[in-house]
Amino acid sequence: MKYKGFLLLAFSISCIACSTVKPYAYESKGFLTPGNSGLVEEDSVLIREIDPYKSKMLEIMSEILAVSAQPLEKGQPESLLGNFVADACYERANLVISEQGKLKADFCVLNNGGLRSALPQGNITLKNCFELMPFENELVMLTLSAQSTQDLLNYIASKGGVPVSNLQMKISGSTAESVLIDGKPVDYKKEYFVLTSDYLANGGDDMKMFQNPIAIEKTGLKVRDAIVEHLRSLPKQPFTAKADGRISR
Amino acid sequence: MAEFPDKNRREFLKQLSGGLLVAGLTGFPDWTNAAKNEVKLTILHTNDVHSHVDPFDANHPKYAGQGGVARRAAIIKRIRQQEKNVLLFDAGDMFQGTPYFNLYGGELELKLMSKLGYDAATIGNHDFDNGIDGLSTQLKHADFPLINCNYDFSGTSMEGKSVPYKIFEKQGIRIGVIGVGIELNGLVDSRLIGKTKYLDPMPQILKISSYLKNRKKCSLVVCLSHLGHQYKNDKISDMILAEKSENIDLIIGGHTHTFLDEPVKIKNKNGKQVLVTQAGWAGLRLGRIDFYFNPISGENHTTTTTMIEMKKSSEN
Repeated sequence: MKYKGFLLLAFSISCIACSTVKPYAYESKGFLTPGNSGLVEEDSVLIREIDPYKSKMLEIMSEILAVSAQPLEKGQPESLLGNFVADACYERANLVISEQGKLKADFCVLNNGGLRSALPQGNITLKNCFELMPFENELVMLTLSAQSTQDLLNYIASKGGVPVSNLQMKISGSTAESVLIDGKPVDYKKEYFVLTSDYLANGGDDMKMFQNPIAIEKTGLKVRDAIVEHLRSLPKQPFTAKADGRISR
Repeated sequence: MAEFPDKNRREFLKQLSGGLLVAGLTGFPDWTNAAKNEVKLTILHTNDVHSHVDPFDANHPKYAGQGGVARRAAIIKRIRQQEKNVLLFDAGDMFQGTPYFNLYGGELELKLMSKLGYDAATIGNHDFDNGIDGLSTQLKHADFPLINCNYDFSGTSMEGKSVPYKIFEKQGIRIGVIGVGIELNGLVDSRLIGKTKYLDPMPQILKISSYLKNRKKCSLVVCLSHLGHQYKNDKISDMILAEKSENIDLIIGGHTHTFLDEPVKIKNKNGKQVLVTQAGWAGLRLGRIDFYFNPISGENHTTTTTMIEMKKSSEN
């Protein structure tokens, strides 16, 4: 390590010699990458401490659910990961909703903050799903008034795009334009069924338009379980996700 | 540690300081001695580690092979061998992000942080993810304090299990540490936080930091913050806190997972410099700040900073 002995000495001198408070000297030494400076790699005591926890964790979490043809990462206005997760939730939750004999959700809205890690290319394990969606959040269906629906669509625009399914829009400033729901132009006189997570429905991310819905119905399906079930249902060959321009600028 | 009678010691040091000044003017300075008596303090910090015990998987698109507690432990151990005075802090969100948290509820994270010798941590919003009881019951695995001054835990299982501030002393230099947490409404499910009340951070921080600096004579006041680095609106953040503060020298931030290559330098209300830093997330970086104090005046005269990346040189 570089030791700025001379410099320090100089500052010591100046500080002792003057009694008024002066701004202290500051220096950024930038980055240090352990591999470059010969620092030890990993502490073996810690490895031993972790091992029993790790082997049990891997026993449960190593199951391979599907194979991805490409890495899936989040981003805006849309992303491979956001589209994939929103589509998985929309599809699996609607299966549950249909089984309960109810009308299906019109579209699905999630948040980027809830996607906690990327999915790799190649084998996707249960562990990857826990890292992508560690929370125990459940999917709920809200019945939104026309006004709340409009507020929601503009909220999505003002955020610069969030993960959605069965919804298309163009962002113009902080306004949603050319909105299609289920392929049809949005009707701002109509109520809509919106699928989302209970975290957002309970006021997470300050989504105020979710605060007083006309109705709220639980699906009993966790977001993570929707992703896991969707991955399990895919054909054996590597799957591809699409950025299809559902949200554009 | 033996406690000096503070006032007498200060008087003594003041006289000594005068002596040195005279020596300096008469041309017989003992510079070697002054440098040798300098107190160096090394502060190491992490934030938003989010249960990332292991390095990222080899097929991770962004951080393959990077991070991991065992690597951090080895680096911290090395620094402790080189430096006499080390303080290790975390700025919250220790929990949630890998199956270790889903399976063991934070036990492993806190046990490992204790092994690494963390001196303190503050509370992040995700540390409530298993509810207030999920946090309080895990604290038996932590041998370091949780510091927070703006969550009122009265009537919850966390009552009495955190402290608003803590004073550390290294070679006669006092370091006051405050902790501050983010507004929980709209961020954490109300069922998880129970009766926890969020208090406006600014008045708390102004009051405690003044107490630490002026009454307790801390040479350095550090704020462990989970407020977030900066927002587009006027929501309270580390940057706003730094501007409005009077007695804080360093803000170790979290929440926004901000990768700062070096601390941001902000002028506080009185025109004094405040360093605002944050080390990304997931244990990908370990922040290091070295403060050099004049042992006589207790004044911090030089500061150097380094961001240590938790990866091998071959990894990108």
